[in-house]
Amino acid sequence: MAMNVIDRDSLIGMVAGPLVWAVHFLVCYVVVAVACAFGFGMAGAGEWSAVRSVLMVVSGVALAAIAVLTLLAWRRWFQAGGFRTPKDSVQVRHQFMALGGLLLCLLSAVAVIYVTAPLFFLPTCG
Amino acid sequence: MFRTTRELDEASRHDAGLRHLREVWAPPKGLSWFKGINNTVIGLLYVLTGLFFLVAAGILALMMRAQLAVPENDLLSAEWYNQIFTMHGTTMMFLFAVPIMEAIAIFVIPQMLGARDLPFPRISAYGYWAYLFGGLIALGSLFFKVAPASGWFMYVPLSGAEYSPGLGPDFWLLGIGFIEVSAVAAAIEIIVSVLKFRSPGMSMDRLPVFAWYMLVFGFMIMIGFPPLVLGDILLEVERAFDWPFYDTERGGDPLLWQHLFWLFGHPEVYIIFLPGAGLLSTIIPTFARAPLAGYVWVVLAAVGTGFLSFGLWVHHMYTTGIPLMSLSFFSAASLAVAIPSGIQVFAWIATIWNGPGIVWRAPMLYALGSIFIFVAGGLTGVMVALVPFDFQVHDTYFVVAHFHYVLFGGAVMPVLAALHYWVPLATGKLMSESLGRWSFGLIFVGFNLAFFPMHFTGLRGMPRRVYTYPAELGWDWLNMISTVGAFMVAAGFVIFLWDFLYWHRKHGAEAGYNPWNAGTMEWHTVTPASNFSLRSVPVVSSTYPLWEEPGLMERVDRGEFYLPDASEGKRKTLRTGTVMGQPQQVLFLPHPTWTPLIAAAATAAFFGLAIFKLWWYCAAALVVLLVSGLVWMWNTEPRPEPNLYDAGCGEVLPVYVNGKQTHGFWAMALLLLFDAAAFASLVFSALFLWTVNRDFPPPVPEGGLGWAWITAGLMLLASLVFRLGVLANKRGLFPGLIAGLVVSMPVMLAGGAALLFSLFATELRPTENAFNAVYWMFAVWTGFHIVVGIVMVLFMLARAFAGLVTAERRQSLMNVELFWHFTAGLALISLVMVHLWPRMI
Repeated sequence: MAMNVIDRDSLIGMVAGPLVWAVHFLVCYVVVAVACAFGFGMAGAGEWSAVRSVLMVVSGVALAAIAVLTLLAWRRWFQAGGFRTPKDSVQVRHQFMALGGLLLCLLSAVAVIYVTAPLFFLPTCG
Repeated sequence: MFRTTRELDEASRHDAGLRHLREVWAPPKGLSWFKGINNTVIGLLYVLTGLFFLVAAGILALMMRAQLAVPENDLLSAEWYNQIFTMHGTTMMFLFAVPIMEAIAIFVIPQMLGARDLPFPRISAYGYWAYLFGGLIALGSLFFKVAPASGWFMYVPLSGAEYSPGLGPDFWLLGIGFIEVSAVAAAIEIIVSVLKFRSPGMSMDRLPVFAWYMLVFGFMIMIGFPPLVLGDILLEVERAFDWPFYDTERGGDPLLWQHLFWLFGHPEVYIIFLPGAGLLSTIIPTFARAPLAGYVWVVLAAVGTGFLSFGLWVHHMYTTGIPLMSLSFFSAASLAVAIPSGIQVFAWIATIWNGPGIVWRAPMLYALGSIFIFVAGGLTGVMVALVPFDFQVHDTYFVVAHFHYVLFGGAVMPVLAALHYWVPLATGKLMSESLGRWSFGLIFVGFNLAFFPMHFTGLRGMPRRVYTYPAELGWDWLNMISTVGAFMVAAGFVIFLWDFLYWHRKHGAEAGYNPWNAGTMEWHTVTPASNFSLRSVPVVSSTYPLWEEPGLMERVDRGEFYLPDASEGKRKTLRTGTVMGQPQQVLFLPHPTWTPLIAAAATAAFFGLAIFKLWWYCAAALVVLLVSGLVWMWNTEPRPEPNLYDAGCGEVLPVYVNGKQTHGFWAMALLLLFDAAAFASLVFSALFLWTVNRDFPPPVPEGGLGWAWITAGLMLLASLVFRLGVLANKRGLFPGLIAGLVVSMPVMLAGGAALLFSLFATELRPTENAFNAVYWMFAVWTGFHIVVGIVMVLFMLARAFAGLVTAERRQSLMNVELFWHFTAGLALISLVMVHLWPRMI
């Protein structure tokens, strides 16, 4: 039985946001480590290296992905009644799963923004 | 409703179902009690063992504080002091904190979820005995003054063969490596239990919140422990066979060890804290007399913390010369993790706020003290997450103060609260309220007295891990205060343990039914709790059935729900759907047996003898382990005819099920997740060495490509042949199955041999440099899996000839198949890493 990841009852769907954060974090860490070790991607105006530009784009993509997941979770949550009192236990479960996914997306977005912040302020390899 | 054991005895006389249940689930008597595998027996042993190690590590802490009380003290020598602080940290982290959380979970989780037992009772028994023996091996080294002395994190090169020539690090590496076996066993057990073995109707939004926390805990162990297991193996191989993974002279790097260690070590502290937070989230609602506020927020916090904690490991390595940008990523993630932690604290406060008022009993005192201490530690945590501040206080007593605050507040205090809270389930008596207040007061005040001054000691520059210090630096009176506080904490623990182990059992008040008026199902029992949990497994429709569903529990005790009888004399539990919790299978559970104890003793003997390099004895221990494992596994997969069981509530469920939703398949998949994470750490090691070693490019293998292609072909063929055998079995073609199994083994073996030849052909020797050692490690790793896979297939063959593998009974074959394909996959990735990757860069 193929599990639809953004199905209303999927635990994987619930943690999709944090998974995006994890991939984003790993990409940032690996790219900077490799670039500093081999000294490539340092081209660009003064302090501003190509690596930083690339990682900003990566962060943008990650945030966009989380935004899509947030919208999907929001829609699932709204379909399950949103702020209204649920009608039955199925709706309660759907509300819980959707809201859990939604909040995890928001937390992941904050974490991605935190991790992206140093790109604006620091030299690539200090 | 049964409120006392006497009522239960009375009811058993005319209620046959209840009588059968009690007979079937009764633990064996006398010496056979050690055969016990029920979660209440194992959970209790686990808790007591955890406390034993707590006391041992606490005594070591007092020795340290006594040494540091005055400057230029000569109570302990430098070498002896090093061994003591190493074993204090090691014992507290590996032998107390993680196991005690698992112990509490093993004891209460099935009861909480309304299951009769854990899904793999023998595995939890094996895990327990492994933990006991491994812990004694590791701790025993102290009595001969040959304990490890390089700190609980065993940094290389200090712990390498050159600077630690003795057996100390080997005790650590093999003892602790072995204990991780039990941690993984318990983690798989807990994950499968929470996802699959609940009361019908207990969907994910009605889970007791402690179960959510333990689910995250289990997955964190699955991803967090493998890097350390791998680092352990690499260091032990370096010490024993001189493969230079960490030796800078030959292209290795000590930072590799730090990365692998902290990849485990940082998730580890959250692995310890999350269950503690789960305990608080369970205990606080009971004493605040209100359901947990913001249930979904707390679940978010648990899951979010689980994820974010994997992005913090480098914050232990700020001063190792890693690029500032990289450090900042970890600093950012370290700050982000404060958000979910904060959410939890506010949820607890809101819970108290919602209720009619606090019931001031000892468990609640510990819980409130815990919040206070944890928050204080969290605040210093945010401070040391900042790179510049950490540059200043790194390796000083400020850090010691910080992590003792978070660990004591986040783990030790919740555990004390939990022991106070749940002890009636084990003994039927309540612990003394007045002794509880005394112990809490002494521990709380003593702890703050001991550790708060350390912030200042650290800011004044006192480094960690020094055995003494000169007088005129302004550290002496601060240290004296800390020592006084430490002995106060010890006095509190003495009172607590006296009460826990002796006083309350003799003089405590009868607990009776649900003494705290809690809302979760583990309290619906006479005290001491019955081993089979509930009289019948109910259909629940809320998170707190005892509060929100009046009348449900009377019906449970009248046996109106699932599994109300055990007339055929078999232990059973119910498997339910992952998210919704609909009943799917009646699982027949194993009965008490000696195999877990024998297997654990053999495993312990293997690791213990390996310390002294007695290889022949190791081989003998392996044989014993193998035989006990085969005996253990032979009687699995019960499949009665007809394969149906009347589960009660008018439902007839299958006893034997094939497929991906079974608990066996899940356990195998989780084990392979662990395995894959360890293998990924090995890949990481190769890539890491490549980035840090600019003077040592990875040697390009010359030759061996032909063998590599042959390996790839043979591995794919072995997988294919096995698959064909499985398909034949599905159609009931017995000869096809046998042919598939018999042919796939030599093909896989030949593939392994070809992989070895391909490495020999390159003429790269593992002792020459770190990259060669890593290449060979890939081969060793694959070879180990091939051997294990072959043993599994031989076992399957034996079962097939005994008529135990058929078209209907193919679950264990499916599990072996999963392992088989995984092994082939490992071989292919190893080929890429050894033959393709160095040629490409």
